[in-house]
Amino acid sequence: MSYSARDIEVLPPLEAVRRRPSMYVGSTGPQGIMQLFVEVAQNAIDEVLAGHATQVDVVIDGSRCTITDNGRGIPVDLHPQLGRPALELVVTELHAGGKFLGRAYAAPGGLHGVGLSCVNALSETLFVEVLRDGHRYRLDCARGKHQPIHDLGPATGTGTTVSYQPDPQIFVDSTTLDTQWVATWLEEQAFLGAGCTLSLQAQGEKRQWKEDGGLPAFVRHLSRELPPIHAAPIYLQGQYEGISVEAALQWTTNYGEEVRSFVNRVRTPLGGTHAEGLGSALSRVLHREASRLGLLQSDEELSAADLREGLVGVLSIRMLEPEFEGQTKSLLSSSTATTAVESVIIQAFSAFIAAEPETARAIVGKALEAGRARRAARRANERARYRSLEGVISKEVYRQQFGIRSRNWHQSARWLTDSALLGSHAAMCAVAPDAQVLDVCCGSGVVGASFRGKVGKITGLDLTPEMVRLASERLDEVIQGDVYAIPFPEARFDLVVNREVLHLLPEPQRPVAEIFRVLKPGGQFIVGQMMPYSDADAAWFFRVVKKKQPLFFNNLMEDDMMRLLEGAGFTNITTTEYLQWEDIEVWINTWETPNHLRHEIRDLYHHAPAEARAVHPFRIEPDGRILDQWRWVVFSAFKPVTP
Amino acid sequence: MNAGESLSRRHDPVKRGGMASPPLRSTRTHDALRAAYARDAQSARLYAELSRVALIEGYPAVSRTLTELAETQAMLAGGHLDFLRQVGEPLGDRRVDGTEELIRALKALLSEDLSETLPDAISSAHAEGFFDIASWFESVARTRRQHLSRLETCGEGLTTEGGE
Repeated sequence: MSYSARDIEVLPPLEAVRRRPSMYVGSTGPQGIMQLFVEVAQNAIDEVLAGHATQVDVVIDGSRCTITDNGRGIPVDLHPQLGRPALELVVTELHAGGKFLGRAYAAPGGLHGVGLSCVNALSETLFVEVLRDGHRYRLDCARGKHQPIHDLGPATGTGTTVSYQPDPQIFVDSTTLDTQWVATWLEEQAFLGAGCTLSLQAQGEKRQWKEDGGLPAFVRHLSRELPPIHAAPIYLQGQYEGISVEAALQWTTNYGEEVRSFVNRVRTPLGGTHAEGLGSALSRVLHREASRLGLLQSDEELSAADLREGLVGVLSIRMLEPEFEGQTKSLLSSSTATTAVESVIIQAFSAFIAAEPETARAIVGKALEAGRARRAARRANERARYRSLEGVISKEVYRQQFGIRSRNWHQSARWLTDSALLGSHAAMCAVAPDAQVLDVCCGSGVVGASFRGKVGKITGLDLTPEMVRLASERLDEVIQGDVYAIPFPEARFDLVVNREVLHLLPEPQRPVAEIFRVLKPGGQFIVGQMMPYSDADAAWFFRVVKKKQPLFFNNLMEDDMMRLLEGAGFTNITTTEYLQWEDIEVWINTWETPNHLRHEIRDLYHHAPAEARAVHPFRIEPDGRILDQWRWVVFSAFKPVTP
Repeated sequence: MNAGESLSRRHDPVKRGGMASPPLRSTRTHDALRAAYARDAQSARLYAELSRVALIEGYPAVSRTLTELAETQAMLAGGHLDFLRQVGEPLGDRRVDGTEELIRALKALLSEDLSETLPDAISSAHAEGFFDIASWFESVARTRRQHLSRLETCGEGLTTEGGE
């Protein structure tokens, strides 16, 4: 086949953006829609930061988004070399803008000139109105193609309005912006010291932000619901070789860690070199302090993850020409940022600690607690694995873990109180209204309670005294006891219910046999388990769950459950499936998951193999939050009437 | 490149030079190559995993070093494989002359794993009280089954897709 110059296609620049939109805005899904907003809004914020605007207003009406600032207005005069109006250039040409020369803006955000023209290319319609030089000008575009600029006549004031509607030909699934996400973005910009008034009008509501407290106020806001372990956020700042570094830090009694990082006010949800610098600086200073105070026992070591457990922080740096991995700036790769952040934070944090040794002692104390919990979690895994000579599984580890979790049980995952999930268990109920029910390993008793009105007396059984107390608020009677030896005679109950327990029990056939024993002939067993979607995600999902839960022993799937139930003698087995979005940050924010494993869990999502991703839906939001669509399968099985 | 030329010949640096060399199979050099392949392939994975751990623990410079070492170790494993392929795949010496033979060899490896290696591993883990590790091996078996099924599907496509 011949191959010549005629086979080479040269696309107009904006047509290239339309052909490969993901290269420019990350994706054609929700992330891409958000990126369009950021491109336009960041330009308005940059005008504020340059000292020329005091107000940025966002209006979302359906899929149309309109952003107005009262800055200088994009220039409309002719470019000296190109002979075209500057406004036309920035809207229609890639890499045209006022941010490259560093004269009009210092350390700006946005995608450096790819921004507005990209939004134009990917919008069904877009218009820009400029107030400048006593006139109002308007430029209309559709799918990257533009009309001539119109002078709409004399007008007072200055500013720029950009209004666009994402193109449904590109963003096939949805063209609508998540307004809650926009609100969060504007709030972040306000706290990062934009120094202006920001507003959002959407769905008939108007919200406004003006924050003067800077990063400490931001951290107070982020940690407002978490008990602090020191009085006020620690504020650190400094300059290193032209890079400005600012951080505010608050340690809390929480298990999770939330550190938001920004470069030139652009959020870097995956962190990068600046976040690495912060982590290593904190580790060095706190380690040195722990040793100096003699707080470490001879065999005790603290990992960096222990030292950051419960930390809520914001790191913001400003630098010229930052380098990122990928066009959407989610991860900073400039190596100079690590050195700058390390240097500034080590110096400022050391000075802070010298002045406030009690705060340092409290932070190190929290880290020591985290280290001990990490070692306890490792021991839990080892001890639960251990079987004594009598063949009895050590139960103390279950009592310890669920005793601690009972303090905030319903906040430790979304699924626990998901009413539709509870409803999908109750919907399988096929026993008489006066049925005697046993909720096995009942936890707080929500599963048993979801059958209220369909059955008679509901009894709960749990190993943990704290859970027995919690469940007593919901169930008719709660007994402390062991699922391996259920403390009831044979054929006592009409219905036994159980949810998300069998995966935590070595040899699950033993508790299933016990459940079979206490059921009356003809009695029903309803059991729900969260499980992988297929063979393709089974091993990946095992790793995720095992890192979260040291007591995870069985990666159960439908065929395993069928074998378990049939093996115990159950018949007439049916299933129902329920899908539920779980917030992984909430799920992993528990005592039994050491902080370093929380990081490894996030890594597993970020690097999930294509085969797993193809069958197991999950989303990584632009702010880094991970939402996983969990698959629940609820089984109904019956004990035969005759043996 | 001649479409009829076999994959192993293309990747055999000695044969491409046209020089005769003694058969590699069952020599001490062959054993040494297999051992080196196992060591470097395993190390590449280990270093890559540890580089993430170092990053989480707050040692970015160590992490970057480990990543670079892992890349080089993976390259070295590829180098061992260049020679090993003269004999066959390194786990069972099954011939891998061309895509069809490669698929056949991989299917045989997966089948062997599913019928012998993994059932043994699962029952040992159960017998020794490592219930979580037994479940892990069961999850691995699910992955292997999925891979076997995919290889069977793409093996069917070989006759219709053709070579280069």
